[in-house]
Amino acid sequence: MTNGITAYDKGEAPILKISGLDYYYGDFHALKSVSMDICRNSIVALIGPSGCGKSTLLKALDRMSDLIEGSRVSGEVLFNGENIFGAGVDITLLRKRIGMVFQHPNPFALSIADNIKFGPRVHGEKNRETLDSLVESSLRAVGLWDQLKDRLDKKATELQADEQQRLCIARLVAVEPEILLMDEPCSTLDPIATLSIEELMRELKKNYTIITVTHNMQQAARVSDYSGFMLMGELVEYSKTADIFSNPRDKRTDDYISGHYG
Amino acid sequence: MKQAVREAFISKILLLTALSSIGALTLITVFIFAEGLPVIFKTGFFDFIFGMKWKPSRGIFSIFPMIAGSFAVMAGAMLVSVPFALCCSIYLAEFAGRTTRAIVKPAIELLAGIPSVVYGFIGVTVLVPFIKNNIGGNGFSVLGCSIVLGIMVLPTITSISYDALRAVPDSYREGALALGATRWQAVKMAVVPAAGSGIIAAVILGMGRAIGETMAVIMIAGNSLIIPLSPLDPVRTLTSNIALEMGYASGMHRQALFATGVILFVIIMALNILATRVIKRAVR
Repeated sequence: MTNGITAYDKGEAPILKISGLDYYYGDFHALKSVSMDICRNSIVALIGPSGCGKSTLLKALDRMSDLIEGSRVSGEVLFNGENIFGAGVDITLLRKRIGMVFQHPNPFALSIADNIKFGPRVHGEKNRETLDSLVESSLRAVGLWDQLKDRLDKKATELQADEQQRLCIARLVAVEPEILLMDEPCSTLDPIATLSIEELMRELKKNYTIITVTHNMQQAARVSDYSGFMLMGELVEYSKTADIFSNPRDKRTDDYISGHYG
Repeated sequence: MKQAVREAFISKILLLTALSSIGALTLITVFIFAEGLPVIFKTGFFDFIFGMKWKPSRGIFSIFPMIAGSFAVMAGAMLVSVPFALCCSIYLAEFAGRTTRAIVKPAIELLAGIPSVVYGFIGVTVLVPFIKNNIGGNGFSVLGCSIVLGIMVLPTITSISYDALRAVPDSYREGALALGATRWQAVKMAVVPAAGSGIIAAVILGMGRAIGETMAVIMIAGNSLIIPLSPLDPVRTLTSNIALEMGYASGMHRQALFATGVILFVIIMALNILATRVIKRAVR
């Protein structure tokens, strides 16, 4: 591994093992041989300047990047030991198990309840009672149940931005994923809403593994267990968040963290 | 200074031109209503609309069979064109590649450019005999009309629905796909509901076009003054009634045709207002 860091310190196999991942958009080499291990029930923050490849990396992990025309991938991502780029992989099942929260909250123009039921329905759940109980448990998991339980029929697009983002997380929780990918989930929220989402992330960590992309280094420092610093498609440094912020090994990481660029 | 005066002058002229369309609309409205309303009042509003007999020679003017005819033909046209138009617009907006779209979309829009008399002519020479020989009746029928009108309103419904679907942000598609939905599931469960009001507005505008169409309908409908009870029955619509009789109508008869126009005007206005309101609701 380029920077010699692995995250095996819990003594168990990683839930994701990324090795030698290269990614191209047309001629643009967007990810350069990225290798990293992701531990179960941890929060990993990917930091780095705009265009460094952190969002690309995130999108590659649930193959949302397949949607981009002219993209190409090589390397390996083992999810519970199975290569997500393998021939027999069912993409819909992969995306059920690895969910994505987007930068801009994107609830569907449906009722709050139907937003939650969307995922389970897509995966074939028809039982009304099961669906209703999923609505409750998912909204409880993101701390929205008490405030929304009386207006589940209301259109989700009319909620406030942070409620929308929580709902989008609840929508994922309803399909019981193992990993949550979050692409700058707080960048469109105000500081108080941001703190509440961060609190939620720590809560969710008990049941899920979270990989988040952020521009905000304080956020990475506050919320994550491990951090990866990326620059021009390269994973420069990846280690425990406490270490990377207090004692970066690479000069480029040090420069970025101390605000020399980015 | 001189320039400012010129600017003001030009803007006034442009304003006048813009207002002229409102002027024309007002004049037409006033004229139709002034000519048509007396007959409606004389016959009685209820009798005029719900009465069964249209006998100009005896001064009896009731238009229910034609209202029924217009609605029958419109409903038939919707049955034919809505499923087609929806599938078309969904395919074009969500699935078609760039090349396919570049060919198919203009082709559908070209349908709108074919003169209605040509549709009528094809209907009479091809469709009417086909219905007569293979299905029954004398061929001039609600069915024939519905098929031809359905094709005629296809471009309206398709292109407005297409615009509504394209206006749905990609974040909806991404959100659905990221939950493990297939493309069809994403379209069916997230994109189409989001475009719902736009699609409904498209259908309503299509209804307005279908009910207002005249030439093709006259040629294919058979124009009998009966309430159609089967798709194979002939019908006369409000529009064809006006066009068929205006040549020789005079006096009260002529006014009664204007009164038919009043009803048609109100129906089409109502449909357009409805469509506008549905669209407004969607924007908000």
